Amino acid sequence: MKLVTATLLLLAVAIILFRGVKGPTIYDRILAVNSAGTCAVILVCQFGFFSEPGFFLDTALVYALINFIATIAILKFIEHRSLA
Amino acid sequence: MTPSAPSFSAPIADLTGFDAHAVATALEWISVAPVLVGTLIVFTGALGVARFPDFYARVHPAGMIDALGQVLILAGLGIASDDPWIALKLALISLVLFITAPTSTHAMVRAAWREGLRPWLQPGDAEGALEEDNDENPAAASAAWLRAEEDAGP
Repeated sequence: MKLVTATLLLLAVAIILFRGVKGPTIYDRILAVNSAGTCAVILVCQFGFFSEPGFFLDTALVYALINFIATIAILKFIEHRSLA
Repeated sequence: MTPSAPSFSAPIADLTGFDAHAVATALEWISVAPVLVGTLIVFTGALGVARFPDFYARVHPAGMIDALGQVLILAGLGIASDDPWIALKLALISLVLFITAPTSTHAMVRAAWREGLRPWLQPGDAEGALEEDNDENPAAASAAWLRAEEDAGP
């Protein structure tokens, strides 16, 4: 089950990043990066759960928060041309 | 996952009289279904993100990954875990993603609308929409944009 889910999730990240490279507008790229970040959080959770529980889960939590803050910051910069 | 100290299975074992290790194995088998369904949903959402026609349509599969897929996968892992702290951490991660992901999606759509990106419409989709083009009336804004496109080109 580990192998099946990890392979499918990695394939999903690859497909999402294809849209991120191709996306016609900048919002498509931001959406793709955000979804790939969510998939990365799930992957880190699974890897940490099956290898060394407890340690990787903190990494996943921090990555989820960083993903959110980065998305909001990029959107704010695009909209207002500044982060102030 | 060796069920050496099965903390979820211990209360169930006390309640039902089954062996604690048997309960832990049963919980691991139960957790297979949500993890597989969640993985399928994430994969389908990825296909949708790659294949849907415009940005506002692509938001939907992305939100499916962020809301449904991760909840199912992390809930399955939490059911299978033999440590309640790990299950609590997984629930916390799931909750954080469940709150932040729709927020960022909403911010994205709002920024795209403010910048002037309009939904992809077929001629006739916006029929019956009102005349006023402003932020309070998105359907009319789409209709006005589509009319301008039709007037401008072939």
